[in-house]
Amino acid sequence: MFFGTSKTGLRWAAAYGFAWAAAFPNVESASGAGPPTVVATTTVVADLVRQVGGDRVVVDCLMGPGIDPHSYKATPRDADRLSRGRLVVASGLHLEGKLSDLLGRLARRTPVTAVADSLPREQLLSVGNELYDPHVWFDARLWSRCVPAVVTALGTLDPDGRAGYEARAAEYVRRLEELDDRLRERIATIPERRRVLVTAHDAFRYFGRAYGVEVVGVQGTSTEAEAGLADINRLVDLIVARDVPAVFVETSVSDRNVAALREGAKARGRAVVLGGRLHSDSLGGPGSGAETLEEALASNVETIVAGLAGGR
Amino acid sequence: MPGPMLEFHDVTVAYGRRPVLWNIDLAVDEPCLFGIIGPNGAGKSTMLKAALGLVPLAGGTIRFFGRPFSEVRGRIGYVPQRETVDWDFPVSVTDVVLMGTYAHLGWFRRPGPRERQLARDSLTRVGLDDVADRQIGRLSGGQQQRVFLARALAQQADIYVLDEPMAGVDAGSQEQIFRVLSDLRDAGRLVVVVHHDLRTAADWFDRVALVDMRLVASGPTAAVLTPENLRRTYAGRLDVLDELGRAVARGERTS
Amino acid sequence: MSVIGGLPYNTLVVAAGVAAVGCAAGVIGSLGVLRKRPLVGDAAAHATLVGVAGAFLLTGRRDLPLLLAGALCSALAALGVLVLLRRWSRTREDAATAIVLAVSFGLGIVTVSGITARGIPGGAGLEQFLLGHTAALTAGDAALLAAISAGVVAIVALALKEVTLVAFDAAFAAATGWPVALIDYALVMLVAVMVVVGLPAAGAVLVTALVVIPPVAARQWTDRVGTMLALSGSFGVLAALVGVAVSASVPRMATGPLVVLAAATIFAASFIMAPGRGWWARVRRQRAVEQAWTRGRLLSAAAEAAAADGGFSRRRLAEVAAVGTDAALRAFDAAFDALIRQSLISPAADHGGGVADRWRLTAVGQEAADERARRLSLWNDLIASAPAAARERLTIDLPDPQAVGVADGSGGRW
Repeated sequence: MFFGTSKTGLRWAAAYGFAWAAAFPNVESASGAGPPTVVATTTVVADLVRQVGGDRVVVDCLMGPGIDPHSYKATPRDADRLSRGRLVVASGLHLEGKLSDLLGRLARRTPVTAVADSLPREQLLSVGNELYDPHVWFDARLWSRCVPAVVTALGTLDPDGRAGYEARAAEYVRRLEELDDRLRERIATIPERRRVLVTAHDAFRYFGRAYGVEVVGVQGTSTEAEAGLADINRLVDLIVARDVPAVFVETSVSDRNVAALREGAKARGRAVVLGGRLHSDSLGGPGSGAETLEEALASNVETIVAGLAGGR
Repeated sequence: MPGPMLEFHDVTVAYGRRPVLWNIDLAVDEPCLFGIIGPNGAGKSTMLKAALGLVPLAGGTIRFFGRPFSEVRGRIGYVPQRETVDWDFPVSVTDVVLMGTYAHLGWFRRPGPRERQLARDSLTRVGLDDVADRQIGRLSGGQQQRVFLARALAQQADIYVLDEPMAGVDAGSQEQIFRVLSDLRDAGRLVVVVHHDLRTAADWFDRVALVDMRLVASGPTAAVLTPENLRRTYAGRLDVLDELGRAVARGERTS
Repeated sequence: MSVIGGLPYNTLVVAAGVAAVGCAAGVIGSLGVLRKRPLVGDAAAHATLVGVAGAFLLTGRRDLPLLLAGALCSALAALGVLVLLRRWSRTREDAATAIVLAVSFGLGIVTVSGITARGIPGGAGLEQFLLGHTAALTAGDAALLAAISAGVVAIVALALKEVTLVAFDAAFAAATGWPVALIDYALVMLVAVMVVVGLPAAGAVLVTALVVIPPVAARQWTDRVGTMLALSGSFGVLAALVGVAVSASVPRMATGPLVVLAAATIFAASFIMAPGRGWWARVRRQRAVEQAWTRGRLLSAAAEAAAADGGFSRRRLAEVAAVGTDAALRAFDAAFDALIRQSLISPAADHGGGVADRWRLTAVGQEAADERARRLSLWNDLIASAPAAARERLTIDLPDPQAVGVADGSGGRW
């Protein structure tokens, strides 16, 4: 991504944001005695910690549903919340690209665990320059291999609860493996030549590798880089050549690029449908039917199957 | 019956709290070459700008033909000081002279053959027709002054108001400009000039006003430029004054 | 019709949209540059953020027309404050622009941060709005851009004489009855509209760059306002097309910044290469002038030396020409060789023995020297008798006084 656009001038957020952010109250983490507070960065990670921690921990999630973790910049209030946690859990592999400095400094005082960093590198997808695609939660089995890191971290924080954590972890891993099998079956119902997933950014590569779907995003692995015209043209060619029936938008990324794809395909006589909205970098909020990772993955797969298998 | 061609009545102008003009009373009834003379900072330019509505009046009124400036704009031609303009601006001499015709054209109409002929005639009168297409930055000081004069001529006004037209212009060009102004006076126009040089003032103007924040004296040149009046206006700001005053009183040409 | 000339549909749409923005930005930017307010577009672009965030806060929705309306309101408000600051306080132009830009942008950032911190659904990434998404322009976007751009250009063409007058001499305009403040506001409004409409398509950086760079480039090529505007619009279009072409050929290259780079290249080329005002042309002219003068002086010196004893040596000539420094010596050598090349001097017949350093004036050289002496003498007289006229016509390549119309001492046609 040679000419990525970067948001210059937003360093002022620190100066101005300090005064104002204090005026915008938000979820207060529980303080003092009682269950320890664990601060998680994304909704996906928060879900993981809750699944393993159960009632013994209170999880405070920094980024709400629908927020893009690639571009999220912390306000001083966030820094405050992070430092009040007894443990900080992040996703890792540079998903929270703009928080790395803050987390690095925090690690001197508070335990910080980046769950995906614990995965063996051979199992990861590279994006060049010793960087790896961070969207590992889309492969349920791969994500289950992050569970031990959470168990270790919680066990160190709260040794009395270790047995409980290990039990819940084993149960969760089992559920993830079952989910993995189910998803694979569902995807298999799509005719093979139709298994092309076109989305706004390259979040689904692990998904594609695990469940046998060819995955193409308009933007690269990070949403920070603006899409180029050559990329759009290439994708339109692909859509037309492979007769892709539907393209998908994401909950945390702008729709514009996908809209341009559909128009380009339409100009060449292919009416490409908008297959639906996928949860990519974030889970859904309350009532969305995708509050946990399991729900989100299942919901995504149903949307994909409906879009690609149905119709022509 | 219309009032005097130009009339200042009890005019006071202040920049902030400091007065620049104080109780100016002045009337000019007939076409003539009228000079406004005084030391630096006396408020001479301010008199012109106040007359043209470019600076606000703290008190008093200024009338042209008995009417306020806004009602008779089309009859007043203005030649500002040279430094007010960016000479690197991409316009030619002719373009600038045509600007004198814009007020008559009104909104959105472009200058036509009539306006272009008027511009050509104005340029001929000031002797600039051979540089008509030159960009204005490539002119000498005297030529630049004459461009502004030609623009005012193109306004075809009844009263011309010039702010230090001879500043930084060599003697030869000054003569030429003065001749154009005399022709205007002979054709029945009133020409009001803010001028800095006493010597040439004595030679050129029919009537003068001596100004130093207040009006010291005004009337026919010889009557006004007496040593006594000059002393009261310049108050020691000019050494050559007595010499000059005596020379003027003797009616000598002080070339 | 999905492709023209084999070009993909999306490329055509993006090219059309960005070219329209480039054209209108170039035109309206020219007026800003002439009016000495080149950064108005920048201020407007930065001021849009608070309007976008505000529109979202008020309605909870992100429909494009709604956000654009919010952007337009805040841009107009900021520019209004800018104009008032200039008129009513004694703030300088550049300081006022910087203040307005900084404050409005700061307000925008604060509002967006507040939205994110509250976790308001749909509020993520509002500041992305400022970056635009050039490559993802749809046909509808392009049509809107083309329509607005055409409107802006038409208004400017209609009122060209009014805006030129106000930009050139606002005092004269006011004195002759033109509503200068109104015209200024109207110009500022056009800039705001352009910027706002160009934002989602092209982004803030691109729009403000296209408002400043093509006009300055165009100025290098012409001394007429109309030509400058037309050229500026054309440069905007050219930058757009080049940027789009490169972006369409090379993967992973964002379109917007490439257009800006293309514009910058056009400017650099104009700055160096334009005849007249260009850097290279000025260097060459300066050199030519110096060379002409040096050669002329050398020729006169040669004539002087030859008159003394029929021929001259190179060394003697250097003495007569009073060559002192190394630089002067280099210039002398170059001029001497030039005189030989032009057959004005030639080696004298060898008077025997060794390498003769003996030269003489040719017949042509003698004529040229005589002519130069004649002109010099005439000009010297003129400078004494009619200095004003002389100064207006005399140039360093010594034209014939009679040819440029300065007759014997009378100075011009008056």
